[in-house]
Amino acid sequence: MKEMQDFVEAVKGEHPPLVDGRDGMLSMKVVDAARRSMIKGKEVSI
Amino acid sequence: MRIGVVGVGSMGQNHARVLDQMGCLSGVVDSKIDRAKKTGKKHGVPYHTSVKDLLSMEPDAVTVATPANTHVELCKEIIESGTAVMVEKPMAISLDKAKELVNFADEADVLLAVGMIERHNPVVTSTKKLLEEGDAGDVITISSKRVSSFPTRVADMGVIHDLAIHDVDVMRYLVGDEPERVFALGGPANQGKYEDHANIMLYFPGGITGVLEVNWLTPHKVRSLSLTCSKDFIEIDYIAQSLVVTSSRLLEYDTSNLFDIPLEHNIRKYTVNVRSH
Repeated sequence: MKEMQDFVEAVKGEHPPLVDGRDGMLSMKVVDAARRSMIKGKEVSI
Repeated sequence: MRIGVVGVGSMGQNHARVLDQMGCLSGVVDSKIDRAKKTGKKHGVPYHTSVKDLLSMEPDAVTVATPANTHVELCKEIIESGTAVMVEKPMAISLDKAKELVNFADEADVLLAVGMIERHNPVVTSTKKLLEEGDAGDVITISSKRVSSFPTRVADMGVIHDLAIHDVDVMRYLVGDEPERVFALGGPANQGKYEDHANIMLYFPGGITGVLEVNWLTPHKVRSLSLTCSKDFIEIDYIAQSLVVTSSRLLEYDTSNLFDIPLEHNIRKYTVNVRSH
């Protein structure tokens, strides 16, 4: 419920969404690097 | 506010239910006509098998809860119409595709939000507040466990992109910074195309570490996270929505006689009531 409320308020222009596209992309950057690390078997810079 | 839902599988059903409760649901889309029809009739809204038909009804916004490999193209179609969109995590199947989508939304100047349900969990909000107030001290390390049995809903990604992304998001949020390095071990224990278990270590600036355990191999569901801080230890259970803070701030004591110090004098434990309902 809170997630949808946040989105509705963001669409109304009351505030930015708690997780916007750029924020979601930054988490993608980390999980992509984690999977690369798992495949390579070594530490990866993000 | 009129909001449509694209994809009414397990997560999309939740979107439709919640938006209906809020009085905002305007229509649903699913490539499977039976599923679209069932959900549309259940909530008393129009149902479609194409996004184009939903957009022709000019909703104020749309949520997308389809398989991850369809997110970017569907979202671009919605954004192109000037309609705000919230896409379920992961927003794409790769970082390059995620960047492509963010740039597309920026250029169109259309709102793009990402569905990261745990960020909205009251235990996370309360923990963030505790950290900001400073009483817990500095974060030293964060540990999370997110395990359960294999979900039949997932066919296009491994457990890192499906589950670990939640804790990555929460850790980034709580630390307030981006990890610089990562080391992960894992693989497909059940010989699948993607990994079904992984242990991940994140290195944040300032020496803060994050340790994540995720798998689809455990017969019961665990969703927990704990923070070791310089003053307090914070444990959260996402499912029970419980938050327990244990403080080990010692009172003044005689170091020559440690055995006489009652434990309760040195450990303060309390549960923060964070249930939102």
